[in-house]
Amino acid sequence: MHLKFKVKEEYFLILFFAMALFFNLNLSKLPLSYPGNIKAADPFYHTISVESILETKQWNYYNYYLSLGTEKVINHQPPLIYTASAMLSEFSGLPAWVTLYFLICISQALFIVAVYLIALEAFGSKKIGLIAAGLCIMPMPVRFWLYGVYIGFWLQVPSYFLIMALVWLTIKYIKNQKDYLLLTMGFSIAAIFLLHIADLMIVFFEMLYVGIILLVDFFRKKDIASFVKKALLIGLFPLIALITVLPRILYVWSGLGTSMFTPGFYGFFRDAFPKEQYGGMVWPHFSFFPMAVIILFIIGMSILLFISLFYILSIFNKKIGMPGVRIEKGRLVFSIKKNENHFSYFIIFLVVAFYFASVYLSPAFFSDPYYLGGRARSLQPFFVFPVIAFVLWLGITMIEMFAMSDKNNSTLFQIFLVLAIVASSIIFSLGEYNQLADGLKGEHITETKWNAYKWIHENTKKDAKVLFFDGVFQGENVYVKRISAVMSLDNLNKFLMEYQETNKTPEVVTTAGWGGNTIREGGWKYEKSFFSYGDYYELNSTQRIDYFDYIIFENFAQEAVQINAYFASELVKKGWKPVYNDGFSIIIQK
Amino acid sequence: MKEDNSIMNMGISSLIVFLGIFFPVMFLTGFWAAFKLGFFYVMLFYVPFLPLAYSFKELSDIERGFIANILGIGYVGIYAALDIFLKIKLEFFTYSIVTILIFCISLYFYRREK
Repeated sequence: MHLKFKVKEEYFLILFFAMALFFNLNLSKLPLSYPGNIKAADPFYHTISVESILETKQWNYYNYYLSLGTEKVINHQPPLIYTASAMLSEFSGLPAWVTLYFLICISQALFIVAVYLIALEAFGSKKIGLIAAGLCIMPMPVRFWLYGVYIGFWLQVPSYFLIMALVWLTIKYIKNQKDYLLLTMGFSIAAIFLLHIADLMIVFFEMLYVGIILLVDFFRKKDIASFVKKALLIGLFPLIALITVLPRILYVWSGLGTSMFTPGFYGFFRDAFPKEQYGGMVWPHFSFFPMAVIILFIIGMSILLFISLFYILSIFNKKIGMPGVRIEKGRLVFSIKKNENHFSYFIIFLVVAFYFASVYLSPAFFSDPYYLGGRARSLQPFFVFPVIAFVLWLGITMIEMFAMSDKNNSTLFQIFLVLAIVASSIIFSLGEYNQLADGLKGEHITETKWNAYKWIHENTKKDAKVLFFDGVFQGENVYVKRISAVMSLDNLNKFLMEYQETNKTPEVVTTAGWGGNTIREGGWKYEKSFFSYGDYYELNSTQRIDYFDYIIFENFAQEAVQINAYFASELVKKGWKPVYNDGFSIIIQK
Repeated sequence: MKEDNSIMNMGISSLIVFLGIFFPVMFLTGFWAAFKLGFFYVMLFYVPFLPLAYSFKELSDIERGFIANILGIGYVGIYAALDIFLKIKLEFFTYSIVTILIFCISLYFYRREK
């Protein structure tokens, strides 16, 4: 019996997806019993947004401890990914920090499929798609291009995935103009509305192009019914999403993001986050790619530009030929005939050029293009690698033309080379990836800390107020799920000085921030009616110590042990009750 | 006559997505959490839109699967509208009813196009 196994490119794509999912999840891991994978201020407020939905069964308002006791405080976090995570937690019984991080990593892994489909649509070759997808498993250098996942830009990751999906659908629509594509594009736009509305600016030119196609089609056919149908297909879901979040756009988000759309000159060489401080990771620059990637990209874009120019000329003058190359049935073809592939090359060239123009030229037109000119730069690998895959594929087919005489082995040879390229890129990035994963091993909330927090959850009233005596890393106090404040280190030093001078425990504390302050930042609105909102404010940062019902002392360092023990015992002498002590955390009650 | 394997393809596609999630997650969380994440992701965010995606005939299986994923992640936005306009609680019951309803609508479009 002769068994014949046909190698399908899609199998490798699924493998790449699974690998990308693993590598992303492995960065912060998925601890099931405590939120040890939440390691920065942003992820804390993302997961607490999910917890808020799970606890109150609604998204519209913050719960008690996030709103600092004010009623009907508007949740100004967009709903989509938090609701998705809450839904998954509700069904699976797994905690929010697991389901949310899982969904973020799924979105990041789905970039692989999006890039494959974009490359396939643009270059008509599954193998180019595979190379592009494979290079995105661990886009080099990983510390820059996976930054959004591990530092916690968790609205951008799914939103950017949908942007890439929208790019793919747009390319497909420009080529085919099928109605169902408008429906799915509309769905993606609506989802981005409910994820992170500012990101829609990235696809402004693509949407403009689609709008022009629809208008030209209307003026050519004069068929109003067809035009309305198409407009509804692409516009209905975004309209519903727009109505849902309209009050927030008008009264809450407008205050947060107007400067991003205000005309002005931000400056090309100005970074919102200094490179020295953050390594430029928030606004990753094109120069962060390895030199080989930069060179290959420039070669690829030059080829595409060359073909695009001839394509444009050939529209106006039919006699002009199309010097260039194209891939036909997986093979390299040199051609001077016009071919539909050239149109695809023209489109992908425009898409990539529009993207780079948007992110690098927007500082010349907007006063503070934080999202469009800054964070959107983290999408660069997903626009760069399809072009590089095209160049590498040209190289492979040239090698094959000269080296391979046996056509039967051609496919296997091609797949071998594709996998070799992907494997090389993973091996190249693996060392840096391991370093990154090692560097992320520290936990802001350890299991020991979590046990103390759980004690608060289970043994205190919902309106209890908790003071963290000796600070926190980055906002993890919000996870006590009570109105909480963190005493500033300056204040702690002042306490020590005062004790040395007067031998008394001070009675007034200055807080460094109230739990969940980052989630309220820029919003501070409560709802009077659907279109009427009032202001509320953070609680006063100076409070008497007996304003709090509980004080948590955490022995995070050897020096802290003595200081904490002293102040805890002094407060106990004044009538506070010790209620919890596990050696690391001491909790006293008023 | 060309055989229509779309139902079988939908099943295989769902299984592949499940396995594509299950194995990477299993190495990090163990069997049950990986199973639950894979199973509920597929049942909540993928399967409901798969029949609709399969009604788009020109597409390949990978493209249909990808579109089901886009729609699956995107449809959760509907709960914000339900919460704000109808004051419906976001809980297990609501999620189940809406997901089943969407699956039925999706199935209707699939049957209509067949």
